[in-house]
Amino acid sequence: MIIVKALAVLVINFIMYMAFGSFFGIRRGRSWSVPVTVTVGFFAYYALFAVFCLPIMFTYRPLSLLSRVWMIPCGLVAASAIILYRREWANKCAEIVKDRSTRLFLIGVCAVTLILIVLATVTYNFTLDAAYYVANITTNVDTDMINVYDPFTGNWQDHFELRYVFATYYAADAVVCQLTGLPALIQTRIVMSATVIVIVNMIYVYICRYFYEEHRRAFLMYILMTLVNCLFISLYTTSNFLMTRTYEGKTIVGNISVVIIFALYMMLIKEGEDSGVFLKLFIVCLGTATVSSTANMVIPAEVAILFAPYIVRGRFRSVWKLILCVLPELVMMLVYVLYVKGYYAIYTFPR
Amino acid sequence: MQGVNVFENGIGYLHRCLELYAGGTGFLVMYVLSVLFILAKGDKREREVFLPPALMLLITVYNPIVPLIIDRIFDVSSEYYRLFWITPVIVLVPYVTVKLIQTARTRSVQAITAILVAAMFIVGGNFVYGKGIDIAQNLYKIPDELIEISRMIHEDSSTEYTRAFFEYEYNMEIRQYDPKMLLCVDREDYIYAVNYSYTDDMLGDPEHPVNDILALLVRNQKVDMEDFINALESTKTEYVVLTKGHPQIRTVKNAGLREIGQTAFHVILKYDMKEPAEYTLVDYSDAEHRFSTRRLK
Repeated sequence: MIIVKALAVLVINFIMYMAFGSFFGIRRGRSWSVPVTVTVGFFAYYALFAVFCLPIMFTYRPLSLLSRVWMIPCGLVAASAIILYRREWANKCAEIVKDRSTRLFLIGVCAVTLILIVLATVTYNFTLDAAYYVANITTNVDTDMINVYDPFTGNWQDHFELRYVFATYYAADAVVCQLTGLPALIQTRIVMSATVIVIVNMIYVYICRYFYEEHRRAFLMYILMTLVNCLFISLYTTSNFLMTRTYEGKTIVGNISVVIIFALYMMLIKEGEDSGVFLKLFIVCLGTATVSSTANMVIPAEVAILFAPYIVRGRFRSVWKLILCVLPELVMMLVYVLYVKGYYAIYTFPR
Repeated sequence: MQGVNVFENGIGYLHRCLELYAGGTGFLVMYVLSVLFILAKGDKREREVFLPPALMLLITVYNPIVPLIIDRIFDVSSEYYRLFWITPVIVLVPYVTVKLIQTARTRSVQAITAILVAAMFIVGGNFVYGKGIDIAQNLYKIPDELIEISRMIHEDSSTEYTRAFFEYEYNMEIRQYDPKMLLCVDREDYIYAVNYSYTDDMLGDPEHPVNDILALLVRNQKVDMEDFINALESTKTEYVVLTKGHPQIRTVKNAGLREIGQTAFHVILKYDMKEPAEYTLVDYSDAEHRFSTRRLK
């Protein structure tokens, strides 16, 4: 029963990401990419979740209220997306089914992805960080509060730990656990691990097809990308995080955010600004800020490194777009630095 | 990165950091070779995609002076390696590899190139399952024994929430499965105990009674038994779970703890508190729902 529930949550995840992403990824009359749309949708989902989660958390309201409230925007977004984009979805499905030349390529990609999911979900990996992240979800569900109790010990905390509190990605997992009854360990280590692996592989497919329209070469590049992930292993590489700590926020930053931003940069070079790159980039940056505090350092650096040369080559008018994209991370960084330097604290009980 | 910091290593920090990050693999070198390949043989779009980021990375992230500058504002010693994630190794190395294979004129040369490249990847890499695959014992991906211990303690305890001491791995895992199991030691305290001894001043410190528990059960230091019992009492720790061969089992039994059960590799000991330890959640039902913050400085 748990496995059936976990599979259902996995499928619903992707329906929601597709629904959220369609508003940013689909432009009528233009070709659009499923991997980019789903990935942008993933970040739009968590960005919107933070908008609902933070006020509820900081005013000491229960997790169960957040769970009930969160179903409203999800329902509205899903219904609007179905009404507005069902034709585009159907056309894309028909296009994929009709194109016989891609069939073998897609079967190969699905087979490799499935193997990676099985490996990630059946292997035992001890990590110290899970002691916070997963225990945070079990604690939130058990106490029906959000980030008020210390996940390590279960003790009540005097103030919110701001290093983690804006990473509402874990609170979203707690909401799913509360709504579905899935244990936190299953939600994180099976459902979210599988979700992350599927998204990572979708982005890889986008990148391979960007360079190679011919399927055999694209598939060879995809296989080599997977091989590099299996071999580029030290304690610190993104590949190690992907293969052993798949569900963690840091893994999402290193393996989804960083790679999709590179893919958007490639899209900018090929299609120009008309492809809506900066809007997608903004959503990715905004969503990443709610996934892990690691984003606050890595994402502004990456955006500057990739896009600054583009701006310097005579597109100075776009500077404000870049600044706007990294603004969420810069604000979060300032908020955290002020907290660490002892300028303020946010209490877990009104005083 | 554990054990490497900007203050101690100065200009050599980046080099030390890169060594640890690469972990003996050759993929960063392959990335550099791939950039050089694009520089020499790449077409306009390839150069546009890969060369500006490589140059920017070289003058920022891979500039040994940059961590020194950033460290003056934030302590980046333990997290600077995450900036290496921006390097598009995962895109460029496979891309150039495919290009190399496709430039070979005949199928046999293509096959030889592919084999050579695969060999280079394998020799220059650390396979993620190189030390074997550790298959999880159950869907929760925690040891079966931990689940059994959790059940035994809750069956024995008269309260909904109970507090316990576990050894390292179980201490980090139990609350991921069982939020009703409170712990007397948090992660940072445990990591300290694994790495450092406790001084006489630290032992018996009424502010940190948990030091006595850690000194005895983690570091096997000599601890006054009265202080140890007081520490259990003040931290409201009712259960102590130790591996069967743990050298302090006899000591804690002599101090008054009694065994309530065993699993294949663990012994569960109970301390009878002077006053029953009741733990209740904070009542927020009457709390004002307003944002509460305070300026500290």
